[in-house]
Amino acid sequence: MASSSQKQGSSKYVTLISSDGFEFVVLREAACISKAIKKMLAGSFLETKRGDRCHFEEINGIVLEKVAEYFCYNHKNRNREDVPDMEIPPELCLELLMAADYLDT
Amino acid sequence: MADDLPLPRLAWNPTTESFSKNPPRKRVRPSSPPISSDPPIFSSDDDPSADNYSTQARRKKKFRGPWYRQRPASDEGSQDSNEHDQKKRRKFERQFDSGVFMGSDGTDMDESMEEFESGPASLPLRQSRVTRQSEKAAPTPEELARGQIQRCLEEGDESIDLSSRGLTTLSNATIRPLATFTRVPPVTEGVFTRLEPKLKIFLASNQLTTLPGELFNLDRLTVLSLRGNQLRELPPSVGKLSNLKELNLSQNGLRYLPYEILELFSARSRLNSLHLHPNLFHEPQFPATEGEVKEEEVQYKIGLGNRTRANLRRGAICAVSPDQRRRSWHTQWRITFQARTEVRFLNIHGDLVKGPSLPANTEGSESSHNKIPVAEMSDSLEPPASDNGLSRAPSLLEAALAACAKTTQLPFLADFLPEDGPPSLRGLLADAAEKKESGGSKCTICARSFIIPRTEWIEWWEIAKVLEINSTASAASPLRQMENERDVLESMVPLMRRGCSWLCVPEKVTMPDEDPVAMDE
Repeated sequence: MASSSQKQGSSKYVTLISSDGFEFVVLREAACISKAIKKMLAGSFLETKRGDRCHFEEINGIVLEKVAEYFCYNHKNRNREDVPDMEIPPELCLELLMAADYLDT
Repeated sequence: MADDLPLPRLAWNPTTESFSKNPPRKRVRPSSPPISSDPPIFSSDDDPSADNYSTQARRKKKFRGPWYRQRPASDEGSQDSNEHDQKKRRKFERQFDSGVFMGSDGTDMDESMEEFESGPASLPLRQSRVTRQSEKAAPTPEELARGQIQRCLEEGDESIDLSSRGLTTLSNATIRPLATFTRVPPVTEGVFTRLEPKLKIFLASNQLTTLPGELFNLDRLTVLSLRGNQLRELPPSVGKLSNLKELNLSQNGLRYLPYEILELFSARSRLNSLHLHPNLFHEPQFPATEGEVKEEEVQYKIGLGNRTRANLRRGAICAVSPDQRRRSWHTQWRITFQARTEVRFLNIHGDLVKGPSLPANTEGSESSHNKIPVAEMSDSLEPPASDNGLSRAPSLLEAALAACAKTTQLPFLADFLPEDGPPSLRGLLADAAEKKESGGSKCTICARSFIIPRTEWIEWWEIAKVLEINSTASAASPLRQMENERDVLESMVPLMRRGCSWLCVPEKVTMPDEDPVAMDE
């Protein structure tokens, strides 16, 4: 899950950094569901000059945690027939909606 | 008291430009002092006020003739001079303090209280009065409808006739009380009847464009008439009305019906009469690839409604929907799958990525514009190429939108979006609100509820009533046997199926060689 532990193998994982400095390490494969992150990692944006790190100036830590959780949820359920619902607290739903639109996920 | 005598008139002398030599015996006060005495408290009190002897009594003669012609004499202009005189005459009222003290409840305390209260209260008071007036001025049709529903509830009247009321919207709150409808039990002793009502709701000839979801939660509904409205789409929750006997959808702008409507024809349903036409239904456009010309096609179409089903199995069109064998239909209805369009794949925002575009929703378009080509048997169900693997998991956008829809604040959420935010989100939130209002929608493949569809396609099903066995004699008559092309086309009802992910597509079916019996069922 999203733990800000030490990086292992720069190619397999990417680090998502929120506006308030929280870092989430996610499987590259899982994070690449987002087209925006994929483009960032491809190096077309300023944010990713330092390799596998994505800075999100507009997403705070609480929301980015949920985004990272979604990446894992989606990755885990990619081959399942009956996918459980993901829990989203109501106070986060609007910010998450905007984040989803931004990330194109 | 002696001063009360009428004063002599002042005579204006125009030559000297002064009043005549007959000066008034009393100085005229510049303004009359306020009347200081209080009104009497008890009715038996002799009212000393001179107001009782008002000058009105003297004007009695101004009105002549019958009451219905009564008009102030000044209107006629005949007694102008008279009135002039009267104006000059001193008003007959008490001009001085009688000196008699009569108790009143007015105290200094009260006066100050009044001042205190009147100050801040005046503004909201006026406002409230204004709103009340505007409400009184025009009760909306919906308010009238609400009143009628309340009346029906109180009287136990099962048929709620709201037709031709000019309704443009109908909210859930209006319909909700009907869920508690109970019959008025008969007074006769020893007789027991069911208290469950058989509701009949008539909404014909209004201007409704959407329907409230609560309408479809009334499982006691037996008759629903929506004739002559402006519905574009019927919510999928219509399938929940398991007790429906009569459904009238004619004269609307419907392009298709929800797939869920087939539930009304299941074995334990009670639907007896169904009116679908006229509407703006999409019509199937069959391929005419082979050189065989139109005659053949017409023949084929004619054959469709009849017993010559062999014709139907012309490779390209016929594919049996996967559900068909699982379901058992009501014996009264002949329900068969006929054709479907290619699948439309939509992106996470609900925009078309791959697949046929549906004809534009324009009013008064020709019927040829309604046609959508049917899918080939060899139709590829391949979703558009994407780098991410296919998954049944909802998109984050969908998940967040679903969370938004769960909150009670859904209608107000759009106001919290930043000004410079993407405009598409407002549209999505509005869609979500509308969907919630009309009862939500479920994937027709995996039964997961969704807000933004990811796949959609139209299936044409033949929905026709099976003729009674008794009436076979008439059915065998030449008139009956010749079903015209229009009838055949009209029996083909387009049903919209929607899926929640790109994996929710119609199953690939191989041409069934067996079961003509099952199809005739």
